[in-house]
Amino acid sequence: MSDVLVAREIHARHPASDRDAVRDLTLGVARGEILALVGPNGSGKSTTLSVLANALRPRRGTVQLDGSDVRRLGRRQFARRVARLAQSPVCPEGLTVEQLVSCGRHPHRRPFAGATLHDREAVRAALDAVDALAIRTREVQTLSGGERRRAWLAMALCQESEIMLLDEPTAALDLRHRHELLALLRRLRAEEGRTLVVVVHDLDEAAAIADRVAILQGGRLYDVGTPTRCFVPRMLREVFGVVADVAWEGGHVRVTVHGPVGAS
Amino acid sequence: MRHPGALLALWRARYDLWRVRRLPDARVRAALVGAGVGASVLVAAGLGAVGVPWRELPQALGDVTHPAHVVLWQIRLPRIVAGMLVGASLATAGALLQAVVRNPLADPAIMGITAGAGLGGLIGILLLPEYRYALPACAFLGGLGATTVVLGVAWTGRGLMVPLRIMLSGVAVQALLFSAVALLTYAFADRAPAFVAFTIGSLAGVGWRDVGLALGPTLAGVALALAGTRGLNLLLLDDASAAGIGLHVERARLGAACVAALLAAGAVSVAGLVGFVGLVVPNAVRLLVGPDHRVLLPLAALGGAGLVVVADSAARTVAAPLELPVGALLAMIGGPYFLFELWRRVV
Repeated sequence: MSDVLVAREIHARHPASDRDAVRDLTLGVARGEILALVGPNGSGKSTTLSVLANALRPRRGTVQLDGSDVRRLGRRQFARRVARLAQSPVCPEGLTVEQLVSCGRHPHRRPFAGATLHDREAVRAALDAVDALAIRTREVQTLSGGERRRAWLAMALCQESEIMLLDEPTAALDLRHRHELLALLRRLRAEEGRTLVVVVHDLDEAAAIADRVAILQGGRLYDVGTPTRCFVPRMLREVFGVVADVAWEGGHVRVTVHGPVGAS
Repeated sequence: MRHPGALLALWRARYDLWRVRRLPDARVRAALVGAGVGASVLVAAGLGAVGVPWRELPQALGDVTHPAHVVLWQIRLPRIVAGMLVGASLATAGALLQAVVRNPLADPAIMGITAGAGLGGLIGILLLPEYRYALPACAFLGGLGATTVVLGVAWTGRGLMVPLRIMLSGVAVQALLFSAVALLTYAFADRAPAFVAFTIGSLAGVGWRDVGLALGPTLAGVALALAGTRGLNLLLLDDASAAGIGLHVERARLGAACVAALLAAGAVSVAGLVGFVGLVVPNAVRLLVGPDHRVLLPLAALGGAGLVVVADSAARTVAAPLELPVGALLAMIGGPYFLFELWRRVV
């Protein structure tokens, strides 16, 4: 198998919750692919991503990176290979965008050593990639939601890890930055060979960037496959509970919802 | 009203006064804080029952026959050095705890660490009155014990330490321990003088031996804190993000809290229950130079040293020949500052 990151039969729940958000889920991510996690609210997408990111320990099951259990890897060692953009990170007070982004260099830095030339270049490249060079000296707290999102994404980018786990990276972004971000994700895969796992709400976005989509329903894996195979009216009825038509136009999918299941 | 515009401008500028925006950069601000501390030490050395003009200070220190020589070396200098150590310890501990709970209103006094040290110290005086080092040793153990309880309660068993839980558990432990201190003070009123000075916080009668006691924990604690500045900076992020870039969040929190306990307990063992230094100084310094701990920590230590020396000089001269407890003076500064911080933060 060429899967680089694999979750095997995991059961996981949030620490404050008393029921499993993810049940008996097995999912592999192939090297160099973009895998989109899709599903209705509360279907376990973010939980699955947290487990893959080694941020949430599954109650049962294992997560393996290149065949070895992630719990045996050191946190910094893991962070050098896997970066994660959380859903709604809290903004530290008084920190500038540049300071925030340079935090992403932590796993690469030696103890007590200052930032190297490469560290500074990586920060600059990451800021440039998300079009945040102009706001780099501003305090994160004073930014708009979309600008914050881009700042956090830049932090994950400058980790320079081969695998990136992104929880709704396009949330709160305006049209232009959403378009640029999707292009950036495709570029990360095509030019740098990175592996991406992306939680996406918009099916069209998923279809536009993903090689494969994993559809979650009630904490279980409903289906995995190419967007063209998975996005069909039956899936929309069974998973999202809507009666809808699906039309494909040159790689884009248009979903026309007629109404909830049961209302005729 | 004739100039509503000017009033509005003043109102808008009210934080800028605190931020001192016009100062060029952090290095200049750091130099200013350092100069302020140096000046406060000079002034403190000159002030007192035996006044010494600052021009005579070098001579008085070096010349054995100078009338102020003995006073300076035996009374004033140890007191100044002890004040600096106490202030540096408490301010560093405050900055550490504020990073641990990710909340600017944290402080060793509010989190119950000083109360624990106080209770330990009182028990030490009561059980072993004839043993001189009973008080500092027991204060030290009490401070560490209180920290253990605070963190233990905040620990949810799944390896989680949520900042708010630590803060709330600290406040509860503080209330509990302080009531115990108050009960002890009341029950053993016959030994009240020593108790009262200790519970309010005072540097009266501090000598070189006390400096020796505080030196170890302060130097060790400040050094450890400075060694961990990068981790402290990452603690500014939320837990998930910090863990995502390779920080052991719980381990970092635990370590920082233990270093804070070491520092606070060391300070309390010399000066008693001095409060608010840990709250006021890191916040004021943060307004000056921002949240980066590589700059914040050393400047907070310096600023804390300066503040306690200044407050203590005031305490021994304002109502001379009476001496006021420095803890009470600091609380007089700290209380309003706490309210100001609360009011300033709308969220």
